[in-house]
Amino acid sequence: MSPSDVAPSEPATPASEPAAHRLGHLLGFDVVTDGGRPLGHVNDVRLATGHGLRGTRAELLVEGFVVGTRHAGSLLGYDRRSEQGPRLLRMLVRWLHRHAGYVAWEAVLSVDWAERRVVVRTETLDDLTMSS
Amino acid sequence: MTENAAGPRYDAALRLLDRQIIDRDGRLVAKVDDVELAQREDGRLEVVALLTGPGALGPRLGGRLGRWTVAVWRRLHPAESPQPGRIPFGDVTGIDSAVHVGRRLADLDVDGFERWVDAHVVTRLPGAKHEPE
Repeated sequence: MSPSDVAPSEPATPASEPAAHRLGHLLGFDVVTDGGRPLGHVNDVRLATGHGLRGTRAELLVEGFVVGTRHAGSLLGYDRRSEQGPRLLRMLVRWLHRHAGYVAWEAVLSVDWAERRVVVRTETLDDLTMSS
Repeated sequence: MTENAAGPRYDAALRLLDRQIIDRDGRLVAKVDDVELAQREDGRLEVVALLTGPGALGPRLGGRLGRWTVAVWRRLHPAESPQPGRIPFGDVTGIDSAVHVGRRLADLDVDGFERWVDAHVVTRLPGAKHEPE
């Protein structure tokens, strides 16, 4: 998968270097299907280590997007760990974000920085909880 | 952070933004105000740097407060075209409740704005040289 229209945004980057983007800019992007149906907004960006090295540690690559259907602020992590409590607060946060989910990078068709939009090939969101 | 077969996984906003950066000697460097991503040749986005200072925080805040933050920072900053502090991700040695870097504070390209304000504004305020109690 290779998002085809990842366009440069701030800050300006020399032509010889890859386009630089900011995580803060990516948060809040609309997430839509290739048919244009809205799935929500980017609430967080999930990172995973790759095989390459950056200095003394493995590179960190975008693995997918945490997608929420409302601007209810941070999920505080209560939605992403089955064992993370207190139970009552966890249940409340999960209810508030009951339509939140996850889209893996492999399902991403494009990231349009100018239009602040991520287009995905899937019609449904995956389970948000990370396994421990 | 969660470990899987391929290694640790992080939700970036939850685990990186606003975290304290600590240098190799245990000194507080700055907070992570934003994270710089770059698109690789295969299209994948990769974390390449941590950004610090009002020049990184302002755009993230957005709205009037964000614009005001950047405008004041640019106005007071001694450089003509100030840039946010930038720590290459290759300098990061560990991520837990804080972000640890393998270099010393003096060797890092972090925003000197706070030190400049301290030297040129705060120390000139009446009572600024008062000994701490």
